[in-house]
Amino acid sequence: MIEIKQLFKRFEGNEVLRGVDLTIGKGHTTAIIGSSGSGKSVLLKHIIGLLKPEAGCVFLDGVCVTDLNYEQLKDVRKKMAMVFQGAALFDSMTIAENVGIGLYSHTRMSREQIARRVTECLDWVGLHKIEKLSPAELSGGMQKRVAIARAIAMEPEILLYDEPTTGLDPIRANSINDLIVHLQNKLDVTSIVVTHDMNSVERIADFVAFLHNGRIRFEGTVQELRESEDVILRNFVEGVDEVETLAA
Amino acid sequence: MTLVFRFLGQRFYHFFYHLGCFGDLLWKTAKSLGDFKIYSALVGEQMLRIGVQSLPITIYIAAFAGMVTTIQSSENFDQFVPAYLIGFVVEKGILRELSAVLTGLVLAGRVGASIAAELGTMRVTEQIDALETLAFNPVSYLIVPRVIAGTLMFPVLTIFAGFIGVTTGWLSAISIMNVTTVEFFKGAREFADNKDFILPMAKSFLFGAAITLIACYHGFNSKGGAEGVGNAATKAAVTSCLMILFLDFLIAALILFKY
Ligand SMILES: Nc1ncnc2c1ncn2[C@@H]1O[C@H](COP(=O)(O)OP(=O)(O)O)[C@@H](O)[C@H]1O
Ligand SMILES: [Mg+2]
Repeated sequence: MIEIKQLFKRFEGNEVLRGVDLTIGKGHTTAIIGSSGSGKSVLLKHIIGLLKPEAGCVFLDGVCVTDLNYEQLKDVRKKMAMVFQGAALFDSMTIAENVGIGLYSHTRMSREQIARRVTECLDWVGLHKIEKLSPAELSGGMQKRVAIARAIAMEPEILLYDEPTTGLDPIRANSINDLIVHLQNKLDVTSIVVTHDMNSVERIADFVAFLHNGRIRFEGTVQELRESEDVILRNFVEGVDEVETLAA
Repeated sequence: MTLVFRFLGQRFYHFFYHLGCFGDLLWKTAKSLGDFKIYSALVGEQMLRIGVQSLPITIYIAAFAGMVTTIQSSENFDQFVPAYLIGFVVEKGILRELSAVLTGLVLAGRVGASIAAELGTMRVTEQIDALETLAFNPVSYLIVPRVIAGTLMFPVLTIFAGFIGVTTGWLSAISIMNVTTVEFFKGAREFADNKDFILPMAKSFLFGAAITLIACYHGFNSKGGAEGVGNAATKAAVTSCLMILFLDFLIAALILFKY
């Protein structure tokens, strides 16, 4: 279980997180929604320990991740994996090396075992016979899939996705959504998906949290989200500009 | 007036702020030297890129430095200054100063900018974050191999530069001046001492470390897309050049000053 308590973060006077409280249960998919620039990526990076907060804590099974030193953090990270918004594949490596990089360094698997595992992971994300290509030779959607394969290669317990469907056409976006649901069922992980794509939320999420003005404004099931009366949340979900409603 | 002070104050603050962050990176790099298992496999590739690929430009610079040294000094020799001393001028000028400093300045641009751009791209495309989430230490993985390669390869390149520079200086001397090969090397040897070797080696060793560290620093701290990467490359080249001239002075003062 992940518990975020009173998390504060600012960058040079820009207060991004102003006391985020959020609990994320094991084995479900939680979507974190919010408009662009609201700090969704920043929140995700605190969960995996890439950023340190000014105040507050992210507890992972009762341990405060944000207080850990580098070595302890390393062990935590082996339980988590993150799929970055721009895929963030290593462009100096082949696809196989990208997916297998953690296996090479953090396990005692032989080369053949690693190669088999890499092929298996690529299989799960629906990619075949691309091991020897370089990331630049793939389309954006395929790069996202490789990033997902890289994330699941080390069998993490928690998967973090940063805007997995942003920048993809609706068909590819939906196939990524299906893939997230498929992996969720197959691997029995805890998934946290940051997105501003409501269609994606409807398809994949069990729970939803709405990040607004540096705090969690809404937390609940997708059903509760649909029934919510909160104007700001409604506007976000229906894609209405706040200024327009004020003017009306 | 207050504006001037505020500007200076900001500059000062920025300078020490960066100095502090750079010190932090230096400390992390030193600590990561223990991760031999991770970086040892990566040093070779960097040595190839930093060292071997810089060899042509190094040879080009040194060749011209040698010729220019001879041609410009040649008119100072007359009946009072014997011509064989050109060997002395070339040997001291090339070995003690030009081989390391010219090579360093040009490679600050070539190596420094390319490292900063490469790591800067990795930073803004979140590849460095990705490395970290995969439980890798980006310092041992990206910075240490580059710094080690630079620190080892710069002295090698400087040896090449010294050798080439003295050779072209000598060839120019025997073709445009009234000296023979024997006289040239008599002049060169008469005043040669071990500092002609220690100085360029000490300089190039530090230049290699400084250029790669500065470039890694700017690369790691770049932000804001393609523009940020460009800025990082420019800053890396400029800061390295300034650092080289400063270190050049420092080493000369430390090694040559008679206490
Ligand atoms: N490393 C950083 N340095 C400075 N500001 C940052 C940094 N990362 C994010 N920010 C700022 O934090 C805010 C939230 O960013 P982000 O979390 O990326 O938003 P999003 O919800 O679109 O993912 C933005 O205003 C951004 O400029
Ligand atoms: Mg984001």
